[in-house]
Amino acid sequence: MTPLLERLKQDILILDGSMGALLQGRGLPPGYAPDLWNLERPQDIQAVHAEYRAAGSDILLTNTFGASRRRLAEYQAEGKIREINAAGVDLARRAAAGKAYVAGDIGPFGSTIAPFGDTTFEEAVAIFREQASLLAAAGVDLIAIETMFDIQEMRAALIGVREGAPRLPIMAFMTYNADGITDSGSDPETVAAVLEGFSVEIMGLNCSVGPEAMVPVLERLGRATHTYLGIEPNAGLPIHRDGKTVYPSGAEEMASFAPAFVEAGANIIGGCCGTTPEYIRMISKRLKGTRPRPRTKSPHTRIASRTSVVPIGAGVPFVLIGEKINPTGKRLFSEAIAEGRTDLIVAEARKETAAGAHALDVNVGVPLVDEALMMEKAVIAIGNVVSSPLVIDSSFASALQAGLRIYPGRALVNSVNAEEERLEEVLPLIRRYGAAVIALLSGDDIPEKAGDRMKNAEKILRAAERFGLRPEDIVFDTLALTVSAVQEASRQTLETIRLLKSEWNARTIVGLSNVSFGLPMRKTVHDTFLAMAIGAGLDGAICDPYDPLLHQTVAAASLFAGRDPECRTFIDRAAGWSPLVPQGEKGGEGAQSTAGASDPKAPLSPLTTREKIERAIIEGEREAIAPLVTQALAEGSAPFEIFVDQMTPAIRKLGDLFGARQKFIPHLIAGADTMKKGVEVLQPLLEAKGPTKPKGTIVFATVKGDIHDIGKNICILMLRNFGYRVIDLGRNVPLETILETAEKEEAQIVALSALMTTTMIQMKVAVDAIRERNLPYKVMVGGAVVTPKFTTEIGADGYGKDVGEVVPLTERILAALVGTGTGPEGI
Amino acid sequence: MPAIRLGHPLFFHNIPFEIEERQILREMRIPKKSSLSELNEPAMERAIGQAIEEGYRMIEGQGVYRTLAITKVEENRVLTRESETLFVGQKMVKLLRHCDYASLIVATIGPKIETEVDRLSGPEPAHAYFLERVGAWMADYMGIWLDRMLEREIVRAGYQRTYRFGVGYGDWPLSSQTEVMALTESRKIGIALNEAYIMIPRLSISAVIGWQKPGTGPQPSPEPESDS
Repeated sequence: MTPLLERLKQDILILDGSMGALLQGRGLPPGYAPDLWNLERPQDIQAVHAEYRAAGSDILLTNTFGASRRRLAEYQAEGKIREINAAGVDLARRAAAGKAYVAGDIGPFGSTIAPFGDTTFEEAVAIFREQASLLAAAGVDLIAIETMFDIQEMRAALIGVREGAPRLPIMAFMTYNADGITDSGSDPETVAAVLEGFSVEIMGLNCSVGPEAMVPVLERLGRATHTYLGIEPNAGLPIHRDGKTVYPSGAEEMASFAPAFVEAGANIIGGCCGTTPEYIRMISKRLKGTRPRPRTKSPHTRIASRTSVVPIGAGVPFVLIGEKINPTGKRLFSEAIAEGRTDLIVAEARKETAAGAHALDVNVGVPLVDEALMMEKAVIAIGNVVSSPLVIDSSFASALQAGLRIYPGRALVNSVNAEEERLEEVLPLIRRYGAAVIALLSGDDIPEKAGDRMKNAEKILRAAERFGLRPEDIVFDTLALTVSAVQEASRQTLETIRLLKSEWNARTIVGLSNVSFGLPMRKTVHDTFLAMAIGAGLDGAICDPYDPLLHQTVAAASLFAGRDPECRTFIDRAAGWSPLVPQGEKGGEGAQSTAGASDPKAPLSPLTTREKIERAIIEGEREAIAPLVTQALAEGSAPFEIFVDQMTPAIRKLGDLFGARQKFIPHLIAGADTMKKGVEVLQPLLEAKGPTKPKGTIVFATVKGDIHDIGKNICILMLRNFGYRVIDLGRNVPLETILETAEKEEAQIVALSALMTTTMIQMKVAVDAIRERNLPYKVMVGGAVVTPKFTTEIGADGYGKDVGEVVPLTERILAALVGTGTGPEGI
Repeated sequence: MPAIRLGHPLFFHNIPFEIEERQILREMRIPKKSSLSELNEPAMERAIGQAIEEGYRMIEGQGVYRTLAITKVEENRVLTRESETLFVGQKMVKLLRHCDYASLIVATIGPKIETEVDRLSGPEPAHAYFLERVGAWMADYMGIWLDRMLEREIVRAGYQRTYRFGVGYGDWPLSSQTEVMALTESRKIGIALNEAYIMIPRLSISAVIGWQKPGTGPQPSPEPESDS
C-alpha cells in the first residue's frame, strides 16, 4: 500500500466507527472490557472490522483502546497485555486484507496524571510506551491516541508512543466539550501548539459531542495548524430511551456534515460512539472524489501553557517575557527558594502577568538548592494561578527536564548555545518534551561580528535538525551586550537580527536589561535599543515588565514593524496610559491638568484630627489610626475623651451606616479593627488613670464540637470597642467550662456561637442547664445556621443575625437586666 | 463512549484557580459591586486586595470524586455496591431515586489560609475576616471545579446531573462523613475529621451528585445547595 502520509497528500481517508456498540450487539456485557474479546471472541472482532472495511473504511482502529497495562489490571488481565494487543492487530490486519491501514488504538489509561493527578508523568509515559511497542511489534501502520481529556496525558502518551514506536506516524485526538474546551481547559489553538511541538503527523478530535458541535472546533484547529487533521464525532450526545443508551444523530445526518469537515481541513473522517458501518458507508459515499483542502504552514514559534498560546514571529504582537522570577540579587527571594517556598514566586508571577508580560521566565537557581525539585514546584505553583506560557530557565539539564516534564503545555527553554556539550545535553530534552528553545549565538566565546554569530546560528540549527527538531522550534537570542562596554557589539546585535530575518525568516529575541548596564537613565537606554531592535525585526524580549516606558516603546515601535494593523492596539492601550513625557498640545495639557487637578472628593478645608479619626474608623483605615490618636494626644485631647467623644461616636456612625445599608459587614469589621488599633494606643494611658468600670461582662464561646470562630472573634472585637468586658473562651468549649467561667467572672451574659446544624444543638443544652440550675445568666446566640425560630425554641434570650447586631442586642439585654435590678452596676 | 470510572477514587491535585473579586465581594455581602475598584474606597480595596493576593500564595486546591453504582432504592435509603448505610434519609431518596450512579465529591484549599486566619484573629481581626472570606469562597470554588469536571463525564455518558447535596444538610447526617472520607480516601488530600465529623481543614467541602436519566428527577438549581 502507499505509505499513509503520501496518501494523505492526495486523498481524504475514511476511518471506522464505534466498536463497543457493535460488540454489545454481539453480546458484550455492559461494563465488560471489549479488549478481552480479542482473545475470547476473535471472530466477532474480525467480523466488525470487516463490516467497516466493507463500508468503506480506509483505516481500521485495532480493538485495543483499553489494552494498556493499567486498564487491563482492572479486569486482572494485565498479564495478557502482549497477547491482547497482538491479537487486536492481527484481527484488524486480517479484516483489512491489504486494502486498509491498521491503526494501533490507544486510549486514556484510566486515572489522572501529575500535576493534576496521582500518577507520575513518567509512570504514565511507561504505560503508553509499553502498549505502543507491543502494537508496533505486531505490525500496525500508525498509532492512534484517542479520547484524551487532558493535554498532560496526551503529552505523556506522545512521548511514550514516540519511544515505543519511533518509526510510526501518530494520529492524536483530543476530546472537546460542546464549548470547544477540553476537560482540563485547553482550547484547540493551545492543543495545536502543544501537539505540533511533538511533530504529530495527524491531530484531531473525537468523542463527546456530535458532528454539529465539532465543526467549529475543527475549524479552529484547521486555522491553528497545517498538520493533517482527523475527526470522529459521536452520533450526538447519548440519551436514555426505554432502558437503553441511544445516540440521536442518524447516519444521513452525520454524513451531511462531512463536506463541512473537509472544508474545515479534515483529511481523515470517521465516527465514534453510536456510529455503525452504515454511518461510514454514508460518509464514504458523500466524500467520494473529494480532495483535501490545502492549508498554509505558519512560520511562528508557538509556546503554550495548558490554556493559552503565544506566537513568536513576524506579523504578530511583540512578545514580552517577564524576567522577574529570578533570585539573582534578591535576598528574600533566594531565601524563599532555599526554604522550598513558592509564595514569592507566585506573587511575582501574578504581578508580572498583571503588568502585561506575555510569558514568564522561571529561574530558581540558588546555590546548594536542589534546582530540579524547586523548578518542578515553581512550575506547578505558577501554573495554578496564571495562564501565561513559561520559559524554563536553568544552566542545569536536570532542572530543565524537571520543569519540562511537569509542565502541561509547550515551554520555551532558556537556553542552548553553540557549545557542543550543551547542545548534546539540552536538544534531546527539547525533542522529548515537545518544547521550543532559545538559542544563544555564543559558543566558546561571544562573537563580535554578525557574520560569526550567524555561523553559530547555523551550527545550532544543524544540531537541532540532527535531533529531529524543526526551525520553528528555535528562537535565536542575538546577544544584547552592554553598550557602555562594547558599542560595536550592540550594532552587530542589530545586524544579526536583520540577517536572521532576511535570510531565514527566523524568530529572534534578546535579554534586554544588560544592554544599559553602567549607564545613567538605563530605562531610556534599553528602551531605545529595544525600539531599534524591533525595527530590525526583533520578535520578543526578556525584560522588566514593570517598566511603563517599555510598554509604550513596544507599542509605538510595533506600529512601524507591521505588528499592529490599523494601529488598533496602540490606540486602545494609549487610552489607559499616563504620558511619561510631555506630549505637546493635547497630551501636555492632559499631563498638566492631571498633575494639578483637584480631587473632587477632597474637602474644601483641611480635616481636623478629630474628623480624621472619624474618617479612619468609618473608612477602615487601619494603618492611619495609631498616628492620628497620637496626634490627638499631642494636641491636648485626654485619652478618655478620644475614646468616648471621638472614636465611639465614629463607630456608632458606622453602625448607623450599616443599618442604612450604606456600609456592609466588611466595613463594620474593618472599622472595628481600626478602632481597636486606636484603643491599643490609648490603653496604657487609660489604665494609668486607674481601673475603669466595664459596661458589662460577657463570656463568649463557640460551642462544644464546633471549630469555627471567625464570626465570634469579630463580635468580641465589636463588644470590646464599646467598652464591654468579654471573656473569650475560644472554640470547641465544653459547657462546664463556660458555666464555671461565667460564675467566676460574674458575667451577665453567656454568648454562644455555632456554624453547624449538628453543633448548634449544644446551645439548647447550655440554655437548659442554665435554666435547670437557676443560674442568672442571659444567653445570646448567633452563627450562620442559627435562626430566630431556633432561638425561641431553645429559650435563649437573644439572637444576633450578624456582627452588626451584637452591640445593640447586648445593650438591649443589659438594659432589661437593669430594669429587673440584676444588671451590672452602672448600667 | 468512555467507560464510567467506577471502583476507585479519582484524585485532582494542583487545581488551577482564579480568585474573582466579584465573588469575594459577594461572599462579604457587599451588594452590586463586581470589582474592588467599584468600591471607590481605597482602604477597603487595599485590605480586600491584600487578602486576595495572599489567597493566591496560600491556596492549594485538591479534590477527589468517586462514583458508586446504585443497586437499590428503598423507602428511606439508597443502596450502592459499596455501602448500604451511606445514603440515608428522605431527601437523599428524593435526590437519587432516578439515578443509576452517585458520585461523592470532596475538595479542599488546604490548611494554610485557616492557619493564618487563626494566627491573625487576635491581632488583626479584620485581616483575618477578609482572608477567611477568600478561603470560604475558594473552598466552594474547588467544589464547583470538581463538580464541572464530573458533570462533563455525566453528560458524556448520557445522564443528567442532580444538584449537589452536602453532607450534613437536610436529613443526611453529618456522621456520614466517616463513610464519605473512607470511600473517597480523602486522607490522601490531607482531610481528616474531628470528633464532631467536621472536616479538617475546615475550608473543605463534601457532597454527593447523582447521575439521573434526563427528565426523570430533580433539576440542578443554578445555585447548588451548600456543601458541608
